[in-house]
Amino acid sequence: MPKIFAVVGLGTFGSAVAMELATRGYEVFACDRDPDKIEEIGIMLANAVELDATDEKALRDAGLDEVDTALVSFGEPIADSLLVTMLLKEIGVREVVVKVTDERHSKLVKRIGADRVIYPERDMASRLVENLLSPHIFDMIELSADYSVVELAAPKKMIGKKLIDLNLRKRYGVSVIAIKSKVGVVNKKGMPDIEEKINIAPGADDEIGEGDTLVILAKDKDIKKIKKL
Amino acid sequence: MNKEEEFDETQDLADKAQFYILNQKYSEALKILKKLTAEENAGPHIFYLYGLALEGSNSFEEAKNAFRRVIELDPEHKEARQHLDKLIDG
Repeated sequence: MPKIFAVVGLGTFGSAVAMELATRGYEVFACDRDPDKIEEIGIMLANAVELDATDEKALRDAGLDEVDTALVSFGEPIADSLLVTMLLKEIGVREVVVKVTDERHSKLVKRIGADRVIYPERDMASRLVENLLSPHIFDMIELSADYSVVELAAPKKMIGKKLIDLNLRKRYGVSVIAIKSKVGVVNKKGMPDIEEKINIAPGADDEIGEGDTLVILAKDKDIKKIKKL
Repeated sequence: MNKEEEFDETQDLADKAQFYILNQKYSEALKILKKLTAEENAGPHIFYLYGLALEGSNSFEEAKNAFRRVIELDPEHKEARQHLDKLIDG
């Protein structure tokens, strides 16, 4: 059975998550106590519910005890965020993800049963700084304290060369897990255009083209080496 | 060279640049398009090709400027608008 989601708190982040899940075809309960927000998102979502999520009966009446994963997406007041997290766990939501504002908030929601905490602003700030400082790094996902997956523009030196000849694993300790290419196409109107094509798990004979983006898995210290190329 | 011959030459060069773009040879396309966009009467299609070649070679800031120029010259240019929006969204 496909997963059922709930988003409690329809600020900018919560609304965006609810809309994205719905766009991908999932059933989503979008909840907020503000009727204006419900009216706004209700145009696009079938299950938009006005409720006070600190009221256990209201959560059950709205059917939130049936959802698999709930996102608690309001940072303030912290007391409400904690109470809603606790109630969602109590009514049987398997996974509760909580948007937190700081370390203290994070520590408290974990203690009362949150399965996962997220810091969207902090994570976005970190990615933006990485991108501003290294314009050729398009994205970076930290996998552990030492390893990251990084999207970076293929250095000029690599263009026209095959992966086997570049020998990146041996020379720099990095594994290329995908290559994103910008490929020239002619659109339906007969106009030239470019489209992104992705080559997952590229082979040794695959060649790096102009404008390609490499998706690499590497230790952070090795990423620094490849950034210098 | 009369005006008709000049037009034909510009058209030939634009076709060549387009060929390079379609074959992911963005730096070759850029060599041609830099010259063509410097011409006084360069039209929206030339700037559009220039934007594509710049985007293709990851020169995103310059690509945005090229697409902005296309929209200045032809406010109805849908493709340029789409590329500009995509680049601004990051």
